[in-house]
Amino acid sequence: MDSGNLLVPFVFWSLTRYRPIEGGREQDKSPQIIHPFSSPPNHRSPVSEKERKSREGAMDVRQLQRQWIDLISALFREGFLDAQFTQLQQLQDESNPDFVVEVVTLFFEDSERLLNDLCNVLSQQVVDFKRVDAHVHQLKGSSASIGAQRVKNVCISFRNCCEERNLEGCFGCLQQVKQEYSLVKGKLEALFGLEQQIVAAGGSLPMM
Amino acid sequence: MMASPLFFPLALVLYFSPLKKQQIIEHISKVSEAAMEKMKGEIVEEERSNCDNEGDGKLKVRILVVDDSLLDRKVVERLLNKSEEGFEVITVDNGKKAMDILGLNEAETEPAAINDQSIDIVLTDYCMPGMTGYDLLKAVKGQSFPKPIPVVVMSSENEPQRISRCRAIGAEDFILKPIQIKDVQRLRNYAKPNASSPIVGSKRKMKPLELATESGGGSEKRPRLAGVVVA
Repeated sequence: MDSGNLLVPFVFWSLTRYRPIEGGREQDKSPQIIHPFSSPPNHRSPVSEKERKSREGAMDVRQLQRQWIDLISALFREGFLDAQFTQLQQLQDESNPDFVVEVVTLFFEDSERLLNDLCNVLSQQVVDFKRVDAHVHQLKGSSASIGAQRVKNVCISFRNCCEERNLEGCFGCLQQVKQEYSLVKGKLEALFGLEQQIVAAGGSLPMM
Repeated sequence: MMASPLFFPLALVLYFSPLKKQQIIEHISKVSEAAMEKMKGEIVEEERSNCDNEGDGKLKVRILVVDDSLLDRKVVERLLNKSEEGFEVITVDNGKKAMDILGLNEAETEPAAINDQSIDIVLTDYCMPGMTGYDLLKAVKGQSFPKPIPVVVMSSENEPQRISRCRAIGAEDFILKPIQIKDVQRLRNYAKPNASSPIVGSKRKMKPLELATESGGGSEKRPRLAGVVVA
């Protein structure tokens, strides 16, 4: 009952706090309602440290994702990778999240072993071109299976040199295939490094 | 017989006797519950045997993949598993192991050992050390299995002579590596899954079995089972 006696005067008092805008035809500003019991609103409230870090993290992920897109686009544009690599990416999903890395790692292992064998066979006194061809055939197969197009193309030329028993040609192809392998390996490792950073930062890989 | 003067009143007594009525009702409900349980059991049994075969609604195809390259085996296996063609994939790295799985290695193989792992189709690489894919193809086609096993050869080389050699001894197809999704769909068409014996005496509507369409060699068709349609 006592509070009821105070309520009506209170309502009237709080209405006196309301200040409509003079000449408010355009209504470009909303009327400022000042609550009687609070300080005026401060429109520049400080952003919390947590929120700031979260915003920075999100920007980092976007930056990393852009770098990833740029790198992989370049790999396709410059012919390092072909459509088979895209197929591998499509075979990767939540049930096999590391499929591409696993398969490419197998390619690296195969290639290093085969390049080593090729060096050995080609440096023999009497070169066994059939053995050279067998190794190059395997390297060609592995590179085709992961879409390493430039390595595969050098292997095709390499096999032609073997067929012609062209030793100088074979040495030239060996240097070339080593170079192409080294280039694609470096770029793929950079790509996987970016992927790890994106995932660690809480992002996901862009869908290609 | 009925001792008519007594029968009618007796029937009335029995009919209206609450105790007897209760017993009759209980007996009837017991019998019907037992009948319901039996029918439920039959339904579950039928569905389970269907599920064993059908998986996701299709019969699973057991495919034996033979390739000496671990990388290629991994990619092919993933491709087959991820496709929605219902493959169950077994991989080996050489022709001799493939022969073991198919029960072809023993000198005197008992009939039961022949293809006891129920392989529906073989997918083999052509170039392999030791026993090549061609040798394996020849061995499989030379054996008279209870049900012929289709063999598809894959190779990175598009050599017409190689292809015609393989087809000449009965290869269903020759696929260029690396294999693609469209090749997986072709493989499914060559394979006819080993179905279990049909459920006979069932009064349920049977699903018609899928007949494999063939673009290659064999002319055998799976027998169509007669279904009994529930009225």
